[in-house]
Amino acid sequence: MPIKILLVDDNENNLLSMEVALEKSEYVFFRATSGRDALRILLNEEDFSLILLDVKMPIMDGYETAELIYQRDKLKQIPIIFITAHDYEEAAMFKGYRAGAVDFIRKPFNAEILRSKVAVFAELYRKNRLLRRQEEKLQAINADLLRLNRELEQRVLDRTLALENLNQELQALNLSKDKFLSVMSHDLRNPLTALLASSGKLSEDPESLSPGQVKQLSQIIHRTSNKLLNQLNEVIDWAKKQSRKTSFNPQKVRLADGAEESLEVLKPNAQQKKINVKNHIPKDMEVMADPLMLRSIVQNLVTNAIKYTPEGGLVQLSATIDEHMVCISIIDSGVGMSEETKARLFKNTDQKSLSGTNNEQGSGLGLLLVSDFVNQHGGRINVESTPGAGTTICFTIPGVLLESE
Amino acid sequence: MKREKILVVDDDNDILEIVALLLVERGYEVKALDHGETIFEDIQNFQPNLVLMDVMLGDMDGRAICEDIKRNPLTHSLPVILISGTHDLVESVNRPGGPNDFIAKPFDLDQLYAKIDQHLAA
Repeated sequence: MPIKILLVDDNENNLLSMEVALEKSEYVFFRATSGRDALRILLNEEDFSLILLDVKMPIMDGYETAELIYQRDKLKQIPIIFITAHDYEEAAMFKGYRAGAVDFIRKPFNAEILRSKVAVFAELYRKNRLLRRQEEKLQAINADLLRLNRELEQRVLDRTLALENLNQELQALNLSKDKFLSVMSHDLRNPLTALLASSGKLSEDPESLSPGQVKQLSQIIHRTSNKLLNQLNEVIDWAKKQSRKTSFNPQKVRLADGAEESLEVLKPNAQQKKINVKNHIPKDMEVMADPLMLRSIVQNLVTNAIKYTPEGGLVQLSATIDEHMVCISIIDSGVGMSEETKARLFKNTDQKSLSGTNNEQGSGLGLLLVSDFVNQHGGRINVESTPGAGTTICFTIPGVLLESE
Repeated sequence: MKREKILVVDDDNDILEIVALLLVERGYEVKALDHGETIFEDIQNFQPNLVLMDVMLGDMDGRAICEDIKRNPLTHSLPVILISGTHDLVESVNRPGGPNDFIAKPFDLDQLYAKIDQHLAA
């Protein structure tokens, strides 16, 4: 980036000697022999870094020239070094500074000093330029940030709107469910009312009723019973539709990974009792399973294993192939269970579960869910246990045959 | 002895049929209505001594009709018993605009007879 320097002196020889003294590849020189000339050049050319201005010139001297130059907004930033022939008194120097000079140099000038002074201002100009560029960059970045911010806000607005819509849909769905239930309730209660009233009257004192009345009451009973049957069927259909939403979706699942997911969730529980949980399931083993159900099965069984194993114990998971099924075992070193407990394990719904070794409580439902899920896969559960030594629960689910077989 | 007149209003025709049968057996004169739109006309024409009305009347709400009956100077002393499948009427009984009594569906027959007798005597 060249540094443009304007040399102003009515004496051409001085102009020449200045140029020669300052000769440098980065410097580009412009010459003017009068104040007017200088101004013309300044207005036609852009980006001057420095003006070397002779003080003593005919028609318009250096001070007047400086004044004229600095009247222009465009030129206000350009530093001016006055060149003076006299030994300067302070008053005169002051006049010079007041006119806007940044420095003085005496004629005849010392080339070294001239070069140094010009170098300072060249450097200043370069730094200024750099700063301006950086400022521009920052402003661009700022503008970008503002724009991104606006975009983000818009996205948030969009997302909020979408969520609100979803919420409304869900509320409507919920409302429709509530409505269904209340309509259903009403639709069941009405025929029941007529049914009970009619059958009540009939059984109260049948001998006192006329055959016509008996007929009428019987007909009401019959009609309303049918209505009830219809309503019942509707309710069952509706309930079936509701349950279809949590249906069975078997897919190819990498068993070790699926088990690992469940174990991750239970890490804190195991750590709290300092129980070691080891996953020995072969990494390449695959099964056909509903991933959510599988996760639930493993999580429930391992939770129990941890629950009934005292501090410092061990829980292990392993899997073996048994024809087209895979048998997954959860083995613990816990308290085990009696034959009696074993028999009741998957039976009673209202059986409260026994407390764990650290008094952990639970509902009895976990194992019921496990049992149901394993059944949906077409598998079975087997429990082996020795009181005081530990329990092994293994369940089977369909495996995926490896191509090589 | 003039028979007491009861106006029964319910959008379920089976209920209307059995209740009408039961009340006629008890010696009352019964008019059965399966909608609430013309109730004031019917009250004018039939001049009942008591109104037995279901809360759910298709598009209309029995509670609102009850309120109208109670606020109308011509009918405000007419006893109204509301029938409901839910039990949220307990608080509204004997409030301004509220029914004189309520009975839940399905109803106990003896309880029904007792309430009707009670409010006709009042």
